[in-house]
Amino acid sequence: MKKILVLFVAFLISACAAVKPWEREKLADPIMEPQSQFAKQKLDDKFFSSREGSMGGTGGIGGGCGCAK
Amino acid sequence: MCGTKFLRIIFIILLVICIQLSPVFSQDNDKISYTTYYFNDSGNNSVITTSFSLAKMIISGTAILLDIELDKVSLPPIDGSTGATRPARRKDKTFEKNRGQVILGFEQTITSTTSLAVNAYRSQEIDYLSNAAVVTLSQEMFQRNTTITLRAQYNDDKVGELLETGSLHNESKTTITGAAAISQILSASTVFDLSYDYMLLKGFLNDPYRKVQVFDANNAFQLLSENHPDKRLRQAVSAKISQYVDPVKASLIGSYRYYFDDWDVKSHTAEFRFNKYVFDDFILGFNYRYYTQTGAEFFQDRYALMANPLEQFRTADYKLNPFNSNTFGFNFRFLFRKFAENNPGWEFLSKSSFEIMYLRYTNDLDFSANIIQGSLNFAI
Amino acid sequence: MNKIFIKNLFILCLLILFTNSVLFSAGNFDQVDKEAPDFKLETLNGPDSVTLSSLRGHVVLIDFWASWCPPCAKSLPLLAKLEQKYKNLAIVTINIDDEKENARQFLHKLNVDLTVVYDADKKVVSAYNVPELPSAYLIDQYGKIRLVHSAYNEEQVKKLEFTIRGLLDIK
Repeated sequence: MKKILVLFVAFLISACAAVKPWEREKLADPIMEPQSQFAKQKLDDKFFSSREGSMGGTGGIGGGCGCAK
Repeated sequence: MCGTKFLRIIFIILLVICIQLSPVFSQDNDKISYTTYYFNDSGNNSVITTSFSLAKMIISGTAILLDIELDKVSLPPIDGSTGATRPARRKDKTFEKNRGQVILGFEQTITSTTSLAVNAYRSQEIDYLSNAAVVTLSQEMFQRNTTITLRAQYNDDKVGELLETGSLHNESKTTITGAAAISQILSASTVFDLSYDYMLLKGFLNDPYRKVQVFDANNAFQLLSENHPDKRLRQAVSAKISQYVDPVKASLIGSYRYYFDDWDVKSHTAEFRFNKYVFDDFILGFNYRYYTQTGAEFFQDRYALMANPLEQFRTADYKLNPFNSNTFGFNFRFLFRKFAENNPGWEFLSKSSFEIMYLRYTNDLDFSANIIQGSLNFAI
Repeated sequence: MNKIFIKNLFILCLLILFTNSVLFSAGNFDQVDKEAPDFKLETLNGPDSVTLSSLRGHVVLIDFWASWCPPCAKSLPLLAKLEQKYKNLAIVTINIDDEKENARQFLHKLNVDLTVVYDADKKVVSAYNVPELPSAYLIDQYGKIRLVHSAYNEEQVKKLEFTIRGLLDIK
């Protein structure tokens, strides 16, 4: 728990130099794989988890255009 | 079996309806995805999977999520050492097994930067039933530069064994999963992801069909059932960096995962992906993945018969071996945006894409596999 | 161990939600009632330009958008409808794409007829410190920002229309 909190605080501090919403064109590009992650997660769940002794590491959701919801 | 056929029919009906109605969808976050996956390994085992996913805004701020997946597993008459299992009485025939999976959930936007998703999951096959509940909380901060995702999941499984008599014997297994991930934008072209996964399994953790050769002092062996500990704590930490390479309109994605558990399995996974625009709407990607793991503390190449076999942990699960693997692959992704712009009536395809991926997997246990995955993604 | 872990995860969730609600909201409410930064930008397709100060005396809605922003495909048709409905409302949309051609193709696909200017060096979007895309600023006849609008759900659009009607003195 302490480690999680430390990570949380570290990211709070490190996020000072924010990328502005109008600078996110490259991050929103499909080549950065925001949509493909779904297919990749299916592949991880389907194949690698059943063929290898490990799990996890599929990560969270972030990047992209960061547009209004 | 009836359940799987029913799911298949529902799946086809939903797919047809949603493609027909897709021009009608007009809300943000509406997504339809169709994925088909084919896997064939060196033991001639094959898996065909078809899945359909739908995310649709039903009222302002609330989206419904539906995911249906159908698997067909085909195992040849000789089992070999592939790790694929089947009831003993069907060892001399090709064994086919169907599995159906449904995920139904809701995602609620709580504030402009916070969302909460709740999903119910059910997976069923002839000798395995899994029910799960998943809660995911997502929070964006710092002008959406940072995204924190937290997930908690509870699985309640019935691990079945089809007996010679044709009846089904069930054992229970529960899994508690927790995951935390942080995604941080480092620059206008760089994203960094960090995640932690936790999984606690309790109950029947063996494969009821797998048998282990146990040798006595005279070198004669008996086939005894696999016997794993009834608890397993699994954890993984991973990091990923995604970089847009401006001059060549490409991206480089590198990731690393360290996994460890209390059965003493430790692994390192390193993956590298490169994507490049070949034409305006056509992306070509290459990827390489290296994996290495240690064996479980109770894994042995050859088990000796103990005075009390009930106390001996033994496994025939090759996933608990030490081994290394390499995966090479490439993928094509076609974006429909130009097609949509140039063809009136097809504007709804502007955010849609088609992707096909091929992977070649080999490990140093003489196992190899070919994986082909194709997916159609409609985002409206 | 697992109960402690879940309890800690729960506390972390509450911490995040609290932090967000107090500190990190994506709104830009401190701009309301302030003078809207003036600008002079060329239209997307021609040599004409639009200067905000020349629209003093009118109620103006300016909207920042980009072709790579999926919700912008919803906001622009909505603005076109508002322009049709409220003849005394001046709407100026400001595109911030790196490439003008991407913006032109996006507009062609949407088939909307709106005034579009191009913020080539992104100075105007920076001056407004736009919180997210798309974002619209409703400016009154005296040049003051009266509403910053980002979300395009039904409730938010009603609020925008209500404020427009109030400024245009429509009952």
